[in-house]
Amino acid sequence: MCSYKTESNNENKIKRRKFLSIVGNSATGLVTFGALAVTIDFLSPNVIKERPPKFKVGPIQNIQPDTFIYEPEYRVFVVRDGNGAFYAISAICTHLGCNVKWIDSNIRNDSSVAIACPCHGSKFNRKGEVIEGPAPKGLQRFRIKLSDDDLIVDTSDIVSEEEMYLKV
Amino acid sequence: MSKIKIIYAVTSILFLLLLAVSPLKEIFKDWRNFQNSFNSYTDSFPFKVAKVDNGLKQIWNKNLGIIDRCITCHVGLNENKLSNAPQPFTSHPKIYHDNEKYGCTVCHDGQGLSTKYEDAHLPTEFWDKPLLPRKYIESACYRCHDDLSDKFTPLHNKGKELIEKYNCVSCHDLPGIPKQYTPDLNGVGTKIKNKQWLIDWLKNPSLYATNARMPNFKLSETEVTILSDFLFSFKERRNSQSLYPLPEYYNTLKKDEDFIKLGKVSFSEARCISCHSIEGKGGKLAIDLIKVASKASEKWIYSCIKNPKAIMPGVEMTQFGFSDKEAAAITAYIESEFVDWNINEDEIQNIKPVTGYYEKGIEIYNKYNCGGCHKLDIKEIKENKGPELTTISNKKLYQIEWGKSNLKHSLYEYLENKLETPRAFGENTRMPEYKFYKEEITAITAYLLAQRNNEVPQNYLVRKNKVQPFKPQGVIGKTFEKYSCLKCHSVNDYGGKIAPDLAKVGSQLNRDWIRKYFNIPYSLRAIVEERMPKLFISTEEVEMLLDYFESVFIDDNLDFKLNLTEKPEELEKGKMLFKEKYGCQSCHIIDGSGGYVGPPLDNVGERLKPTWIYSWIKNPQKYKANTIDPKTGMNEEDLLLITSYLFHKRSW
Amino acid sequence: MHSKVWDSIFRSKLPINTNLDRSLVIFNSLTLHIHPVKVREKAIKFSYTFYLGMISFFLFIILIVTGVLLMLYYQPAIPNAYENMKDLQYVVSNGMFLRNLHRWAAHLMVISVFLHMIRVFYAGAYKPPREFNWVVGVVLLVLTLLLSYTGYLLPFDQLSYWAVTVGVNLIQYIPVIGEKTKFLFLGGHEIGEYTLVRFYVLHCVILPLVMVLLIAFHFWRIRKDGGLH
Repeated sequence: MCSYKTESNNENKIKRRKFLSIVGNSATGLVTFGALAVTIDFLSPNVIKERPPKFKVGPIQNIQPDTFIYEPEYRVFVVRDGNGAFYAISAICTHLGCNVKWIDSNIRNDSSVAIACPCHGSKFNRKGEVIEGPAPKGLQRFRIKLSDDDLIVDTSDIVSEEEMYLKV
Repeated sequence: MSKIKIIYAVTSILFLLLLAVSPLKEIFKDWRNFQNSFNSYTDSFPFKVAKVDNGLKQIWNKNLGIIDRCITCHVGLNENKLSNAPQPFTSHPKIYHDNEKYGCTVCHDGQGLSTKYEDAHLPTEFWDKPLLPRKYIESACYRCHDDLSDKFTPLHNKGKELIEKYNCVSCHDLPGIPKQYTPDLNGVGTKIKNKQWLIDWLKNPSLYATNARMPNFKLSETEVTILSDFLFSFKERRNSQSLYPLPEYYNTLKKDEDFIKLGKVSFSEARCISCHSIEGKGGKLAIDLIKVASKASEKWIYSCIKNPKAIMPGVEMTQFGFSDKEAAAITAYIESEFVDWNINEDEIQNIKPVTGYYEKGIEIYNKYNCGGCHKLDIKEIKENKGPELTTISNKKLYQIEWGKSNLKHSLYEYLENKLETPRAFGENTRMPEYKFYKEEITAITAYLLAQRNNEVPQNYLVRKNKVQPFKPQGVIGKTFEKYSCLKCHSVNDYGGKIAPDLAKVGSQLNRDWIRKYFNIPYSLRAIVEERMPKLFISTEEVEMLLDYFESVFIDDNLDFKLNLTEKPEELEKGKMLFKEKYGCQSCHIIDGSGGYVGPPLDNVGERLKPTWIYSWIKNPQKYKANTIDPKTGMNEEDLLLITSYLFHKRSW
Repeated sequence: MHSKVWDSIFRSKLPINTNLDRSLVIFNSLTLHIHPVKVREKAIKFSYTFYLGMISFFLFIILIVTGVLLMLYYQPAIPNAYENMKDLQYVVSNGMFLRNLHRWAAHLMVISVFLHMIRVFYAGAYKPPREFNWVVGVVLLVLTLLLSYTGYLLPFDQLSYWAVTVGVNLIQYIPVIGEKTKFLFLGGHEIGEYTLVRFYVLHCVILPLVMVLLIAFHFWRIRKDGGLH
């Protein structure tokens, strides 16, 4: 009897030890993963100081047909074509993000180079379509709207070529 | 070994619990609650309200240095349909500024960075500017604007007037507020008749006159005695005109009833009560006269009536054109009526001055900065101003001496209490007590809260053109000065606000009418008691002023020809239009009947020039921005007929 | 386990069967050989050292981890510094938790380092041959206090502003070099942008670097001076 009891006592002890180990290990594991999760949560900011995606260009009279203005803060070209329609294209090269430059503002047709990137030599026509080299796709087009005579460009609203024109 | 395992298990679980606290707190933050309840609240509405997506929101204005997270909980700010919703969901009343551009704290103060109710709104240890009470929000307009009309900032503008009235700038620097006239004290010993009066006055000026502008300095008995001895010793009128001697007949005539009566008639003809009150009745511009004969000597009163500007340099009182006899008669009238019958003159007169009163007097005079208001030409007087208030609103809370007060710490509360009981904060404060009304305190606080450094960038500032001072030179300037015209009237907004602006008076009024008016001024509106005082002005001066009015106070736009009709049937037509079509009589009296809102128009043709009548009816607000005379938009024909009709309302 | 990679990282060959192998594990490890290969059980009893040195060291590790995380949301500039504190408090997830962790760990570290010193003193553990390590320990205490102090300015609120004003004015009383030292600390004549940057660099770069070097040296000396007896 006696020996049996000690044996079971020992067994119980081992069982308890094992149980405590499992409890401790799992708690520690949870803590580790939890701490990791908390840290990742901490690392992603909840509020960001960013300028609002929309900006005002000013009254339509500011831009004459066949001219454009450049908005340096948002890196956007606001263009008025020969028909008087407005559109807004990004000045960020689709290759590696350099600022593209308008090299020839007298270009009237879509097949000639109007915009070029100084970094790696990509070339675009006046609608922002790629004509040459390493840029993989055309410049981004933003929606442009008219509100109370003011032109408003929304850089969060990327549109297709058909939708990009604002006819006045 | 088992013991270590137990410790291991227990501590790791404790550690887990400890770590769980933070994420749990994140989940149960207040703002999440608000956003969720906003969404369920708006579900119950019959109309559609845009849902808010969960998450922190902020308005960032880099130029203004503003990060406002108020919109995290105040989610319905720009949703017009929610104007009756409870806070924090209610919409913002319509204002001139786009809150998404300017943020919230630029007007409201408070801690915009916070996302907790208490920290954002209430005074806390770590933020100097708690939410401004609604009444003070107008003070914030002055961060960008510098001059707004009563329509926008009534409280602030009232405060500015009060600060001017109580002459706060004599002790505190404040920009753009002119100093008020305060008597200089050279020769005060010859003005004050009775030392007891001086003692009572120093103890509490408002006991002598309820509208006394001098505050209560709460001087101790000894201070009062020393100061009265000190002031009484100034018998000599240095650097200014000595008092005029009374005419010889005065002493014999001063009890004569007819003489006194002449004085009384002149007193009321000159309408002294336009500015002075008598036992509280009358004007509020100058001191109450009820006990003046017990305060000032006869000689001084006489000199003051004769030529106030000479014996009180800088005073705004008009120099009336009284003859010596009239002046003496008025003095006799004042001596007979305006006496304090309770005062015992003999009791105090013979008490010897305290030893060393002069040195101690100077000390007290300097301590309370008496020299800030009252000039005294001795070299020991030093300026001893209070703190400057030009940037009081920028003051950090730790810079404020709170004394033993148990206020909730915020600047506006400090200002309110300082104005109410100035000596409550610390023992060495010397600001006197003004016994302001509650409304006055709020108004002054609103003004002071607007006194700040410009923290906003230049392109946010809205600066109005400053009023150009009107300072004519030569004889006209002297005449304007002599009669203190600009105390009541203004010229292109420079000057007093009591009487009409004079800038176009030459194009407005007929010369003959003005001449008569100088002689017998009357109130245009029957219900308004205030009127211009009779100045006893000489004919030459009147003609000179009239010439000046007609050559300078002219509006060239009013110089045109009008085709006025004289035909009786057309005048009749104008009368019908006046009475029937446009109902002018509901406000104006004409032919003995009509309303009391506007001035009576009988004899208007005598008073006003026709081009003025014509232009005024066309657009009243062009000539007086705040007039309630409606712009009727009547056609040219009606306009001409009515002008002709009114122009013929004259006795010649 | 017996791979080339394992061998390149751990010097002890597996399996470990003999006492020699076990000794080698300890002997070849930077982190383990703070103790000699063999210690008496008495020497590592809790009541002997109360683990105060190790507790201080772990608090230091916590401070480094939380500090690095806090640095990600902190700009040493005016008025950004104070705004960043508010951000941590109000908008950064668990920001307050980390900030408090950093703060409490800092307080506790000062206490534990101090208690550690008292323990060493009463145990007479400063006696030869350990007298130099005592000196290193005292320097570490001073560094701990300096870290606490420089960190105090970083929130840039009223409390820290005046604490630093007072502290820096203390320096002024050092004869001859006092004025100059104060000027160097402040980067000017009063607390400003430069002061904030200087304290930031001291708190986040210079002092922790010196601290790590000295801690390593301190540990090494414990072992070389004969470990814990």
